[in-house]
Amino acid sequence: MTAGSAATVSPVATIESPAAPAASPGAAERGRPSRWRGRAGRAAGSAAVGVGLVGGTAVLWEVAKAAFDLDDRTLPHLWDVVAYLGSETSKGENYGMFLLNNLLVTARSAALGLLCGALLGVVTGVVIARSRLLGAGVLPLVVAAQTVPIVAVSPAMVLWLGTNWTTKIAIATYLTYFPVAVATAKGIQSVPGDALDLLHTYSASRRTVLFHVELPAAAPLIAVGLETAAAFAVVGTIVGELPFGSKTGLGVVILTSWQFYTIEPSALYCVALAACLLGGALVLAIRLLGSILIGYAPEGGSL
Amino acid sequence: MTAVEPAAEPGVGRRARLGGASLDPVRVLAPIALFVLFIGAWEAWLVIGNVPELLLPAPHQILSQFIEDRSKLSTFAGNTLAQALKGVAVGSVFSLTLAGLVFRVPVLAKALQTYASTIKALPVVALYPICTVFFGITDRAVVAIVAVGITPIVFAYALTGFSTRSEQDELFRSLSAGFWVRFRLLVLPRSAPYLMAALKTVVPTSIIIAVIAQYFGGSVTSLGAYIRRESANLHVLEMWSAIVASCLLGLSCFAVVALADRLVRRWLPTAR
Amino acid sequence: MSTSDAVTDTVRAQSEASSPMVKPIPGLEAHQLTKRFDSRGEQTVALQDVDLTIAQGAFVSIIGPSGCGKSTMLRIFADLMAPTDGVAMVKGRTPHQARRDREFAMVFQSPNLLPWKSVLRNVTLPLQIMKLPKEEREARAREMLALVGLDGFESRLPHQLSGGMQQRVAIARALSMHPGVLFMDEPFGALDEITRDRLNLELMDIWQRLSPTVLFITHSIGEAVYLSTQVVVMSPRPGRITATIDIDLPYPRTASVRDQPRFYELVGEVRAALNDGQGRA
Repeated sequence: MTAGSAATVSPVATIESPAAPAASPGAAERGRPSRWRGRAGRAAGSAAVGVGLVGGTAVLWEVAKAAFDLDDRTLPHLWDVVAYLGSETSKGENYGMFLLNNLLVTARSAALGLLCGALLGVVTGVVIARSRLLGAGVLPLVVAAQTVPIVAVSPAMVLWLGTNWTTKIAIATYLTYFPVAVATAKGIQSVPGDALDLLHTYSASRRTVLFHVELPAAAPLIAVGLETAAAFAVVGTIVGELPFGSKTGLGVVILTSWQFYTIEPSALYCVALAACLLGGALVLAIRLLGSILIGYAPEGGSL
Repeated sequence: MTAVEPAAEPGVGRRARLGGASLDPVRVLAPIALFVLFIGAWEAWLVIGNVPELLLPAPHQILSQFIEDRSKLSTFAGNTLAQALKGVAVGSVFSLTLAGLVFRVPVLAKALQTYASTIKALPVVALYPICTVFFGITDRAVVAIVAVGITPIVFAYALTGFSTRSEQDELFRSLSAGFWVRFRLLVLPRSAPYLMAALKTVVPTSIIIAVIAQYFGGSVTSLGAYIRRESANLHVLEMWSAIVASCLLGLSCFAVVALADRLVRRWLPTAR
Repeated sequence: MSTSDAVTDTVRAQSEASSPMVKPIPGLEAHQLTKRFDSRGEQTVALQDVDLTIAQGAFVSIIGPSGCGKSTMLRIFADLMAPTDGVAMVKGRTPHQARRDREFAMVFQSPNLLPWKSVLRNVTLPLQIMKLPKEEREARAREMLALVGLDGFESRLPHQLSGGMQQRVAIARALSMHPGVLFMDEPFGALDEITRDRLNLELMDIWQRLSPTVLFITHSIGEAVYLSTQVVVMSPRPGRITATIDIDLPYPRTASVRDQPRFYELVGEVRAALNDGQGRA
């Protein structure tokens, strides 16, 4: 799975300076009223680029089809793919609805996995950051754990946990856990020593330090880690749905569409687009949530 | 969200940055101790829980199988590595070119950075079937899906690296340097940590993507295809030893890139 | 471009017409220079109708509290910023043209070296960009490094040098272009007092040898008086020039100049002018 393990090895990669609030220049310079206008403007601009990207991809699709003279079986027309959503499945169901239902199944598992992984990840991150010994011990193993090809392990997991939702959530949890853990640890470790010294002079308890200094300071980083995790959660869930025995979910639809590709090429494109859409939507949802909770969009975040 | 920053060395927190970090005994011994503990717990659990081998074999069984199959596994690993690296090469050339072009238009660069990080984790599993439609169930499809999977990641890192600003931009302006001179002498070396961070992320990822793709069809003599075959035949020991091989391959790739990153940091220090 | 060139010509024509004899082209010239910034819907006037003429070969320091527009003025001259109104000229050319002609060099507050390049490569950088042949680049760079007392450090990397030495490299880099005008934006502001004093002596020595036109921004009164032929005092809100004080200390200015009574008188004058400007603001 996973373009994912991406963040994996360097979840660190996704880490942003916790100074982001100050570093976000636009917001800092502007006064309160115009700040909101600025944010709305940025969101609109960002949305415009998004629409542009989708439009650009659509144009590229058709241009590629024409330029390389690809037949309808290799690359159907975009409109044929969209039109396919309106067709009926062998059970007389509307294909669009059928796809949506399966997408929701996947989305639910992914969201639950993300939640579990995030909670476990934050706790682990705090432990890693707090303890030199554990931190030194766990981090390399985190890197190692991310090199495990989940797709190969998932059949074994089906043997352990069965084909029900627990397998999918377990895989999604496994994949989301690492980016969040590492982001949390990095975020806490990035708290300037001066701030800790200050709290120390107040005789603040470790709990106070954690909840009032360390976690807030780490929040922007955790938000970025969560975004990465969200993308992985979708991929992980789909992988969990692939082994035989699953009956619903995008993974199942991908496999069957692949099998029947020669008969109905549009179906495979539909489900691939749906998977991309779900990944993007979950990431954007997390970003939106993060920017509301933290009160600002990390630099370049917009939305 | 910029979402991409060059990764710091793992474990570099409040402590010293460069230099003798690797000499710290805690940082060497702690992971080893934890790993031994993990293996021990695994063995113990199998014995206590009386877990059948089919469900989960013991580490020592996997190890002996791994040693027995080592020549076969290393051949398969070599094929997997070759396909992964080809994909990295294709994807990197494509995404670096794209990032270089986009970087010339600052407004576009800023906007795309946001989206590049959103699509950073494309659902490769969903796209691989389409790659096989184009290239058949062949090695080329594996290379293609690796390239597709890593392109957004490299693109996001490269664009962020290229778009970094520093006071040196004013220096180059005051020297009336043209675009290419500035790109070659300032932008490219300045983004070296970002490009290396991209490699650090992308190379181990490429192994995983390649294994997935091979699992669903690709060259027969590869780790992914082997795992699939053995698991279908319920040869769990063979399957697990191949999984171990794939982990080792990923880890050694990571180690090599991390080492290269250190060398690059020495050649192209970007710290003041 | 063409419009600003036209403006240049007009201004030059005017200045020539207004004077009975043909004056030499000044090193730096500002006419009614104004710069406004818009932020939070309010306007900040960083510079208001500033007139300034600096003869070629002069060493002029600008001193004033934060926000008085001194950096803004320098940045306009250096073509890092465009004025809202008015005209700035560097040796009779627009800043843009002067930059294209590599008429000036800039020394920043931070050394601004490329951390991955050796000291020598940092100094040859401008010459590399100017496409000089390699031998000439290196010869010039070595000469300049010797001038700032850094011969023997050519192959070091910037981070292996102290802050003062890094700033010396930056000065050598600027000088390697053989600039007619040198812009220095608080070059020693980040250094400790002792290092700053020593670098002041060295800069004085270099200027007396090469005599470029220097525009020097500083917060230090002593530094301004010691180095300059003229000190320009500015005050904020709106940024403008409140006093211009000629420094008549003798040459060669050695370290002992700083012990002369006249030095202290001038320091007092500048301080008074600064306080005066503050009071009125």
